[in-house]
Amino acid sequence: MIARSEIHLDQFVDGCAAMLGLKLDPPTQAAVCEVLEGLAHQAALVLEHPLRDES
Amino acid sequence: MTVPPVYSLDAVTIAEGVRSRARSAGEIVEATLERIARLDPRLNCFTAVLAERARATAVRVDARIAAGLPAGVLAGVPFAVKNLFDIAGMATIAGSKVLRDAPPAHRDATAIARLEGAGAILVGALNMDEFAYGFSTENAHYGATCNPHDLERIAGGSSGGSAAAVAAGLVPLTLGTDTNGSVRVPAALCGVFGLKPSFTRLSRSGVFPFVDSLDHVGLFARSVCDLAVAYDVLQGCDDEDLHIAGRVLEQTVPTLNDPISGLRIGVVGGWFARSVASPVRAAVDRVVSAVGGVGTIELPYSDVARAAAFCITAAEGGALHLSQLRTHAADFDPATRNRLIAGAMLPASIVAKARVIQRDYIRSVDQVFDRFDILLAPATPCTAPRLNEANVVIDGEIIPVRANLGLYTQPISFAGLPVVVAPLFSDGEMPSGVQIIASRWREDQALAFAAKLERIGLARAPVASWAATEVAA
Repeated sequence: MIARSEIHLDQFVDGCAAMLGLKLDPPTQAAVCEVLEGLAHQAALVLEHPLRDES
Repeated sequence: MTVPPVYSLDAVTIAEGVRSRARSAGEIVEATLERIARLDPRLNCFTAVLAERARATAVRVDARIAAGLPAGVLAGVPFAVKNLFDIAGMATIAGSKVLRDAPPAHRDATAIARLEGAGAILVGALNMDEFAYGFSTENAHYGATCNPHDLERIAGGSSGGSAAAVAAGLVPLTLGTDTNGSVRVPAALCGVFGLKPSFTRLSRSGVFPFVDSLDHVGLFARSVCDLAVAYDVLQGCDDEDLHIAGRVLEQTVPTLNDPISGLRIGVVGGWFARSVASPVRAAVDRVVSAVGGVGTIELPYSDVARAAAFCITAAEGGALHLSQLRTHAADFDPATRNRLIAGAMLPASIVAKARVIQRDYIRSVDQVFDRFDILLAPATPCTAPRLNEANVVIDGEIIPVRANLGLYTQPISFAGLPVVVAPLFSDGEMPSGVQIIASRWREDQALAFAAKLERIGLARAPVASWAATEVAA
């Protein structure tokens, strides 16, 4: 799994915004990156959790 | 004999008085509207007061009684709803500016229709976090709802207006919704009883969604009996709700005073015992001491369950509002907007994994109820924080308030279990709430347990002293 520090969130947000048809000004983009950083912690817990069938 | 003021009465007492003609529904409505007009400017619970509609409904209730017809178990009881419930003729704003000019609803939400079918009278719509995405009801468009027990503190959210209106004695009964804790958190912080039934138990028809796979309709009252009576009225199938479980009516009022001595009770440790402020921890301990014979249990990987709920919430919420975010982003509260946008960007693989975790977690938690009937847990990590307070200190650790008020509610709603929040008061402290968690479809047991705590004087939901004093002034 890619370490969270290696994720280029600003590029990820740029790409996603384009795909979703969202226009983000720089302050909004920065704020969304900050929220995604927090979500990434939760997402890591989810991804790293072994499922019943896998454990 | 002194006649008690309407605000001090619970719903069942009001209904008895109206049916026996001690008071008319019209008198109850006028007293309620007067109290809302006088106190709500300080509290900011209501976003709409429906005086004309309430008076017209009261006339119909009084006419039925005059004609000797059945008037219903909630005859003349004023109630109000979180402003994401459809009210015929009004735009359903869901705490937002974006929906302010939406077309008016054609019909009332099923829950409203059922309460009015039992004689209750809708008097207004209540403040909430924008699109139910929050735990504080500090709404950027409609202002913050204040906690009636201390006007400098938050009411909790997202159904903050619903909890505060009951705590202040503006109405004895309100409806809210709970996705991750939005009934249980404000019930605890405002010191009122709250019920979040099992997932898909009650109809969500006519309720603006937040996270369709986690949303529950719930209710608030100042007595357990009021909760049970209203909950029994709300039960039942609804062809308008495709996801409702379709359970037969399982009345809870007849068993409300049954002994609880046969129930196997556990207090939830682990995740649910970390980061709990001392007044809240003391509240749980008081319940444990009062009922005795309590075992300790840990729910498996509740931290992961909470994380999965977090991801599903963000993704579903983001997807729901994507079209408005593309066209009206500036009309959102920036904090809500940023979280919804981030949620819309969450990879589907994470959300899919979160759903599998939910399936496994439900199985694991259901197995715990092979050994227990009732589980006890704190509802919130702390009592009500101050308005605009970013952090609280618990056990010497600084904890961000808004991200963590749902710490102990999120895993339980993720499993879809029924919960009653029992409010506890101690001298000089803001109220604390204890979650009384039952196995799936056993709302009757959670309510009976809460009723026992109420009978022994441990759990109670008095009208906030500020609101009571204002009346006398």
